[in-house]
Amino acid sequence: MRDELDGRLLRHFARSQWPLADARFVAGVSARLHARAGRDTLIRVLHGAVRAILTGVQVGIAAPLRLRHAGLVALAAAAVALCTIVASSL
Amino acid sequence: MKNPGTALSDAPEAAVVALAMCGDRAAFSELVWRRQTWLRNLLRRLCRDPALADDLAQQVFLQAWRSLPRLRAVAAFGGWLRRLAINAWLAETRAARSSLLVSEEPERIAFLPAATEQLDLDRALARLPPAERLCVVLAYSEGMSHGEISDATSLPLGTVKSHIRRGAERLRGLLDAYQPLEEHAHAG
Repeated sequence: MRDELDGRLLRHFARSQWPLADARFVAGVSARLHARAGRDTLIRVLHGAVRAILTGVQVGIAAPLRLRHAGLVALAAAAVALCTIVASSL
Repeated sequence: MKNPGTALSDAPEAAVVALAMCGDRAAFSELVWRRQTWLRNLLRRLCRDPALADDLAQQVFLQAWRSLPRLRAVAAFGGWLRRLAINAWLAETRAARSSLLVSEEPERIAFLPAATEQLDLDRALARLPPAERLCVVLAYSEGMSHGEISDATSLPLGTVKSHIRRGAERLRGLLDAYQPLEEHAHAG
């Protein structure tokens, strides 16, 4: 059963709509979408770089040399590598 | 509302939604174009500030883009988008420390002579407490049943009913104060 509503108010609401179709709003959404996509891509790239460096250090250095605390060594190496990348890009 | 001059402007909405769900940005832009009037009007009625309403509408579309792959059925797009809008407005209201759980005094707005019917309605809605405004807008503007409003807002059904009844009473009173012209128009 339909809930009971005031007919006069219903008519008032039905008549009152702002004509709000404009290209600027759509462009604003697109711009925010692009900005967001750029940030997401950067995060994905950084995440991928860290993983690649960690794996490389672990497989190429820590494992063959049988280093103790290989995880820590790999993390330190990744941090140094990232700092170098960031510093060179500034 | 269709976006003139694009390849998708004549496509049915279900097809456009399906394309957008697959990551098609042009399809999503078409959806933004088609749905902007409805969504912005809804949020303008809930917010007191048109600029905030438009900002929230943009955020809702961004969230929709991110969450679209999780949409279960293309036919549910409109209701799903409305739900995102309600949640965004509720979060904004809570962030502004306007809890729906506490009965609030409506904002005091200086009386201005009515310019248009739309302004009257927006001005009158702005004077309702947030919870009443939300329930009244969803019932009268969106055509949602009391049960659907209860589901969408997580408010108990009895509370929804009383908000709508009380909100409608207040709204009638405010609109009468702004606009005794309706009777004049009928009389004329």
